[in-house]
Amino acid sequence: MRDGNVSRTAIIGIGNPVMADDGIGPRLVSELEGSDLSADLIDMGTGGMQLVHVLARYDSVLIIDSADMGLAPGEWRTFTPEEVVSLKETRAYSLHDWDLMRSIEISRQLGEAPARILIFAVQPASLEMRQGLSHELESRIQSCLAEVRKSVKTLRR
Amino acid sequence: MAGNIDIHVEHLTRVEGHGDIFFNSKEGKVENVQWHVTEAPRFFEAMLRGKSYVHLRPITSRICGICSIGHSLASLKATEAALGVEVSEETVLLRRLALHGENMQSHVLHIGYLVVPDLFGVGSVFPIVDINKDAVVKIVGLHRLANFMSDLVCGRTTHPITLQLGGFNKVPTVAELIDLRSRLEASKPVIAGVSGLLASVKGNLPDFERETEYIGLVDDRLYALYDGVVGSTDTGLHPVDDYLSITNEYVVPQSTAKYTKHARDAYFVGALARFNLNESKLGSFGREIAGVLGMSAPIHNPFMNTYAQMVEVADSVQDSILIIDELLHRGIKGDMAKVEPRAGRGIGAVEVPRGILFHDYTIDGIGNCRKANCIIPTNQNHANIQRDLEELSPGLVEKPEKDIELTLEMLVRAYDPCISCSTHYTKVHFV
Repeated sequence: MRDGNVSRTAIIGIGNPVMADDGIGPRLVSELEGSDLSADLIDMGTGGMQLVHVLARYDSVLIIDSADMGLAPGEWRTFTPEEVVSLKETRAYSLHDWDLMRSIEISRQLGEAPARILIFAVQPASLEMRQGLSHELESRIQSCLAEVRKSVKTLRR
Repeated sequence: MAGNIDIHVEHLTRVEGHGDIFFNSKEGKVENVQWHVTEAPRFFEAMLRGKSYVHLRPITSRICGICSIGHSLASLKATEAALGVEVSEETVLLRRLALHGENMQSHVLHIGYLVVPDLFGVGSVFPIVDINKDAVVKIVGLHRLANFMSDLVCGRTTHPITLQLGGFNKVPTVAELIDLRSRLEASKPVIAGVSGLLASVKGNLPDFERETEYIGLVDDRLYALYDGVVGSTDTGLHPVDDYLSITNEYVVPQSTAKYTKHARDAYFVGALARFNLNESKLGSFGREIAGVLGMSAPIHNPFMNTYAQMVEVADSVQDSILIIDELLHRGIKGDMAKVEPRAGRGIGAVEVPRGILFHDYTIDGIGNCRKANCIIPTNQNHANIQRDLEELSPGLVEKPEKDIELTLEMLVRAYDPCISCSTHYTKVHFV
């Protein structure tokens, strides 16, 4: 994780790189290393309660995650938390069973969430236990990065 | 009315990893109650074989995402013992600070996010924001402080970077330590507040006692975490090098994790065992919080393990402040002991959040690991969880099924089991 006190914008990648396309968040964040986006780049891994602590430090964040949105594999959407309803069934809280939308919810309930939150989500093709993305997602990395750059500019407006 | 009840809790929630509880009763009599561990073994000890001594710590850190500091320290102590390395007093002080950070991190998480929902009668931490937002703010604040401390001392929250053979590759600055000290000082009223809340719901804990053997590190001077000899409430003190005669691992049909036993058929490790063995070594703030929680050793109610964790959070804060004062007084040099390969065997024991942890390595003349054994706290608690379930269950049969289920779940949760870490290579021979 790279933190900074100057920038109050962060791009946060969430996901597990050994679960195929679940790793799209960390992958895109690593592709952005060295870019001129002047935002902190954070690989949050599988997130969990740690995300709540990180959210408290920023004014605006772009969260990159894989999400089942009923789209074709590799398609993406950029949306705000208000635009979706989480359908993920977490049976109860455990550190291995966490929902991104609930992290955002609790951060807001505690009154410390960033004013602006955008989520860039990619529909996975595969969530198998293996390293590396599916062909469908791998072939779209450059277009995903262009979209992420565009979204970060939207955040700053 | 006592009828026939069948309960199968598959993949108990709010614990680390996967374990199941089976319970069945017929006409008011318990026929069977079992704690099953169902995770696949992870073969860490096999992975270490043939690896250079420099890789043992980074690999074993990955055994656990919560106790990565504890595994790192047990690994470093075992490797250094095998190679005959003596680290400086400054290194020991900083390592103790790192361990306090992890203990606080893990305990606050268990108390606040995993157990408090049971005491409030809700399913997770989320509804508590509506019932008592102040409590959640306090718990999140303490968790954040513990993370900050681990980041500062270890280089990151999980899987430390600075903890190295012979010392630290980066030490905190004076300004950083002063800042940490003031944050720790400021956390005391928050800890008192959370403890007051725990005290107010203590009546919701099941009224159950079963005396068992309590095992943990014991030190002449300190509430032992980083170092000490092995203490047992049944048999007294034992050298760490005799750990195999303490743990006596064995296999049972219902568990992929090994069980252990010592003087009795089961023993308890973790915060409650440490409290029972070391209460007299608590500092004034730890004692104050024990008073708030109405605790005095010996305590034989396993549900009180969570409360013992709260006492330890307080003691860790105060001891951390003392350690920082000593470091500031001495000046921080960042000294590293020289480490060179040689043949030998070393055993490292550390108290981690869930209890006593042993790493045992045999290293050859060129520095490669020939044999490794890691005995994890949750392993050592499985037999005790099973024995508690057996003794707790007959008193529950008259209750509604959902109350029985909740009480059994709460019992397992009280141990704060880290099941993923405890699944351990099993070697069997069919006769």
